[in-house]
Amino acid sequence: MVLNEEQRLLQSSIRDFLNQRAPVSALRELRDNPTPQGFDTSLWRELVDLGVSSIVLSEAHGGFGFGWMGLGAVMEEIGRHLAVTPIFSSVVIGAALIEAADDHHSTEILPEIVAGTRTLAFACDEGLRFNPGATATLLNQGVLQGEKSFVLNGSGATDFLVLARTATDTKGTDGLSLILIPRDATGVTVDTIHSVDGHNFARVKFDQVAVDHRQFVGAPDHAWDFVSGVLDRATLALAAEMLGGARELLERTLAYLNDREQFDVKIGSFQALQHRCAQLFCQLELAQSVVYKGLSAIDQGQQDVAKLASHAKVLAIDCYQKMSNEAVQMHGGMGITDEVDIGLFLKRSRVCNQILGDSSFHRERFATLCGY
Amino acid sequence: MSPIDEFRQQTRAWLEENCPASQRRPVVKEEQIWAGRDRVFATPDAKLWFERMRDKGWTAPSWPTEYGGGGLSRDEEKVLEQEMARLHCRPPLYDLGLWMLGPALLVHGNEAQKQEHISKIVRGDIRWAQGYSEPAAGSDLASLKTRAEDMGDHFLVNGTKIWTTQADKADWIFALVRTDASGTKHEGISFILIDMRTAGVSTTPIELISGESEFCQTFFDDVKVPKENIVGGLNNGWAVAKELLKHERKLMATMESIVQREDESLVELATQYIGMDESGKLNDSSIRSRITDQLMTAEALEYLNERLFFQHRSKQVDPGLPLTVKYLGTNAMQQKDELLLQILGNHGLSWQEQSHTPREHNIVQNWAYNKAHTIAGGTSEIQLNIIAKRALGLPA
Repeated sequence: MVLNEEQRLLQSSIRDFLNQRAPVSALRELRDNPTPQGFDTSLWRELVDLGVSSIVLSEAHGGFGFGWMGLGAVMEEIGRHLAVTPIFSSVVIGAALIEAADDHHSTEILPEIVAGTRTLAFACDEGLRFNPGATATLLNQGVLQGEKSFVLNGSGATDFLVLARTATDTKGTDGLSLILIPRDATGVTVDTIHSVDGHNFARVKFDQVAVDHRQFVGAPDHAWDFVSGVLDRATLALAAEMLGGARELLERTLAYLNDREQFDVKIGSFQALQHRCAQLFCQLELAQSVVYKGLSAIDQGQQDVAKLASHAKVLAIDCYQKMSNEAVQMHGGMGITDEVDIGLFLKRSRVCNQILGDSSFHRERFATLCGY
Repeated sequence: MSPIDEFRQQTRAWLEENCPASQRRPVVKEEQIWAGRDRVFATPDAKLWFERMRDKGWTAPSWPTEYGGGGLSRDEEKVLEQEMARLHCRPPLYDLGLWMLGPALLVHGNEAQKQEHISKIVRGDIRWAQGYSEPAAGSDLASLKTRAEDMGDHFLVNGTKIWTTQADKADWIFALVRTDASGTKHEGISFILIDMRTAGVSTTPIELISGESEFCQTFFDDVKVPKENIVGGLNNGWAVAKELLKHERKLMATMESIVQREDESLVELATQYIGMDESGKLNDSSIRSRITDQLMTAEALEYLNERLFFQHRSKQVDPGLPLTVKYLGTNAMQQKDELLLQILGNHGLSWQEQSHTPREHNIVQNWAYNKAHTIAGGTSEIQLNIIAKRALGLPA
């Protein structure tokens, strides 16, 4: 539950790199002048050269043994800088799904993902929110039909990993398959959405898309057996990113309270503000402890981290949301201007809330897993 | 097998062999084994369990063996805790000397004081009380007025201490007294040990909202105290007090596992009193949701403590992290108490012991008693002040 020496070095080198190469101003630039890919491709190339695109993979597939605690450290820095990269969609989910499926794709496309020449996006959500058990997109007799509503980084993806129902008489997460669909396949329509946080997602329609058996990733009808574990691990990585953002907000807010004067004193000397900051710090460290517990459980080989993933996501949501609201409030009038960065974190937090399940989803799941 | 695994195996075998079955159930208040000259044991098994643990030094597992402690490393102590938890072993000894004074004496006491007091604490021979707060010195503890006057060959102590936990049953008291009134209020305080049998010491229990009288007011009228009973040097008591407060706060954050009479399971209680529907969900969705809040906080706290342990072990302690524990732990405890009470419905309203089950009575009494935890040992507000200044660097 503590970073080792290599992981600390990794974190500080990623931090230095992002300070230089992708400070929050880079997000503003991307927001105001969007690229077709939805991210800065040369930034991603440089991150690939630093090795982040293989970080969650086994050493056989090019990983460096930094483990999930190491990934968490990287995600924390991404959260602190609001860096826009495909690491989450293409690596933490995409590459991990390919590796977990353990079939011919591991040799065919994993090297390209690691090299950064192929980027994947996971197409799961259909309605207003994450609910894989309600998947209606259907693959029947080699033809895929359906619509995905919230495909993260869909704008720049070369391929989609589509969760689809392949056994028609099934319910919930039974009878699902994972299918690799190239972006340029006939019948695929990608509608890019610029999201409130300066990132992007896509609505992707699959209309009579022809699929052959080699496009199945993992065993047909039983994809959930390996997808759910990958998503739990990804959820922990996302929570790490969220807490990176929350920690950055706390530090920025403290700096402001130590600088801003009213009534002839630093406003940080007011007990009303001190207590709120102290409570936010407690809340942050509590959530951080769950994230570390989850990430280190993966590194220790714990197979099932479902409960820890839901636990971490809920506390990360509550923490980042509260922290961003309080940061705006404590920055006073400046907090609601676009000139300071606080609002960018506020917006990012709400997008993160929706990724891989919101608070209601994970609270319900936690309760069910605990048996009440 | 690694040495620590070997230690675990031996510990497990020893506990299974030596912890009587009756000492492996949640401890009820009447059966807690408190230290003291007039120590009494509720059952022969309790006596046996205490003596076996005492003889191994495992009443204070990590204290040095030269003073009767167990001499265990941090890792070994953790293993012992885990193995005791696995078998649900009761704590073999209860005493403020064990939890608070001992750790501070090991740091600040001189050799003679350690020889005199530490082994008696380990052996449970003396029951200690704490004399910190005064009627006019609560959160502003350093403004305390109880004074110890230098009379040449002894100190003469006059004044009063309040919230002295079970002082009416204690043998000795460690107290903060003013030995010099000329400097700032933090200067001129000394940490002193007083035998409560000394002439001039008297105590009065204070009745609490829980119906119990855990706390007393203790009076000192011309009490003669030997000069060698000052710990950590004359006028240096504030440093000792701070060391000790750290242990008190850590203790209070984990009070539930140490002193709590019975660790109630929310889910189990709710299942019994509220019931589940056919899909296995509690019948009250609001309570179900609040149980989720509480479990998430409580389990996160366990992970936070675990993280602290690993930080200590790898010598990378975030200085701010330990400061959060008391505030978070005591809040979580009260949050749980409120929920337990709500689950009981009108069974949580009776004030007559005989019209409750013992379990219900216990829940109600704890609910009221545990209001003390966010006040004693530094109020939650004081904790937040400390976090704001020391962890976050906000200005005074």
